Amino acid sequence: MISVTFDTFWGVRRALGGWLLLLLVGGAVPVRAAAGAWAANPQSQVRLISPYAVAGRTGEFRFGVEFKLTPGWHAYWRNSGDAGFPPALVVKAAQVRDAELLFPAPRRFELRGGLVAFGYEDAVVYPVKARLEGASGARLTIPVSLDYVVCADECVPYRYDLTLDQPLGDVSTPDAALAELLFASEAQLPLSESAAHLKASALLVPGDAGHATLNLAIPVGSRPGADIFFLPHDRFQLGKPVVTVGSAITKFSIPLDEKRLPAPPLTASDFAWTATGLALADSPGVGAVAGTTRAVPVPTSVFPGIVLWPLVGAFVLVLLVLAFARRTRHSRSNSKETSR
Amino acid sequence: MNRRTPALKALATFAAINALGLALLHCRPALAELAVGAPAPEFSLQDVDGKTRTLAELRGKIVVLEWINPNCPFSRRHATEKTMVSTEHRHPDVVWLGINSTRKGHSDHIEPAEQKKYDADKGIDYDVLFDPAGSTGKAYGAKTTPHMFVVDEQGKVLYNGAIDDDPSGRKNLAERVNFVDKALAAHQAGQAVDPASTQPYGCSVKY
Repeated sequence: MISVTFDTFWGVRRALGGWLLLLLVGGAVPVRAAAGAWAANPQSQVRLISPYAVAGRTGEFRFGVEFKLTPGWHAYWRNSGDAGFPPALVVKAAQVRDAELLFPAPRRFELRGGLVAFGYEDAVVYPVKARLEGASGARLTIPVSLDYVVCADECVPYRYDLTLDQPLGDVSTPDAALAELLFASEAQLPLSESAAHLKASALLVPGDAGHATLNLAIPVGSRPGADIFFLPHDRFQLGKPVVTVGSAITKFSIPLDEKRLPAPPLTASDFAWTATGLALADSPGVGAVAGTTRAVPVPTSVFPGIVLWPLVGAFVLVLLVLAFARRTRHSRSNSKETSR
Repeated sequence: MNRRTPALKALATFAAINALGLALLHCRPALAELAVGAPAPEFSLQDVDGKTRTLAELRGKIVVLEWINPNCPFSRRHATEKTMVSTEHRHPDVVWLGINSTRKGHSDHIEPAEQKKYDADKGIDYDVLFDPAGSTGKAYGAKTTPHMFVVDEQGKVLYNGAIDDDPSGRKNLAERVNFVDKALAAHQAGQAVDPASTQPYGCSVKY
């Protein structure tokens, strides 16, 4: 399983911040916006955008796939959840190499019937990381074939051939508005654990037949609404997490269902996750971190959960009754003393 | 009063732990996935002619269940491309059933007569059953249209997931990995089904 992060975002953003400053004070950089035409349908509009007014002929090349979504409709994250599928693009310019579609931190959509989807609403820009090699001349036409699906209650798949007509030069210069748009989206990309200076830990807790619980802890505080999203797992279906928001640690408990029965004993297993809403000190914004964590099983409890929790409940109930009885006795004796 | 405060705090902690435990017990996936190897839930559903069909009557046969919604673009694409019908024809001993779990009142819901016309238009020659209450769909954990299940001769789930590895339909038919075809071929050859579970894609089932 692969988790994509964008560690270099802040460095790139700082560099382009310099370009933007140059634009503001100097105004000498030619502005030739590189954005493709919108492809439109009743549910969405989509186009390609480039942060460069002029892109250098060789080296790193970033661009974006910008969506505007009709209210009520959503597009999908890398794991679409229980419906849909993530967008896929094919870049058809030989000079554009290793193009990789990146996914900003998603949100959760609860659908009717207990279904859940992960994605974006209103608007989203999917950043694309690539490099230019062998480009020449003053312009490069970049054709891209894009497949995506948008869903509300219905789902509608689309395929478009989009084009980005990119001016080229010896040195890159930014397009202020489009660079801001792309980098605002890149700010929503999850950091890696190492970039965020933290390391998650995880335990697998056995449950009753066919079930277990993944307890994943990230040593950083979080905001209300913190959430966690996983890539599909080979062995388990992952349920809705219970999030415990703390000031120094954020805990996620995720119910797991075995995909295959009879289930073998629990063994160490890797889970690829993206957590959002974390209180990252040096990285504001969405507070998203992605990682892959090996969860190790804890020894099987003498009591399975289905027995243990009612027992704990009964124990608490008895304690409450005893406490209430004691308090009542105490109140009665106090009132008797007062009446005397 | 002060002496009781720690005790009350301890009780509150116990209660919180208890609540968390109970919450976890009830936070299993809202639509639980039917595990491969688990018994396939029985059903009793009506086909387009009003005839009642049950899984029990098919015991001893391999059964393919396809969650279907003629108003879902993914179901329609596979019907147009004859993905399901051609797979069915490659395995003549297998019983293939479509199940439409779209609830009544939803804009995608169709009456049996409309389904019958759709089947004729698309060349669908297998029976489609109606599950407007969604109880069979939920028992199987059917999430999308299409969502495929293969049930073996003993009534256990052999395969649960997508029809193929091409959600966008970009690949040509020869390039696609048809998971159901592969599962049926493996099982009939006495081999283990691999993959036995994949992530289905498509429209959400309209429960």
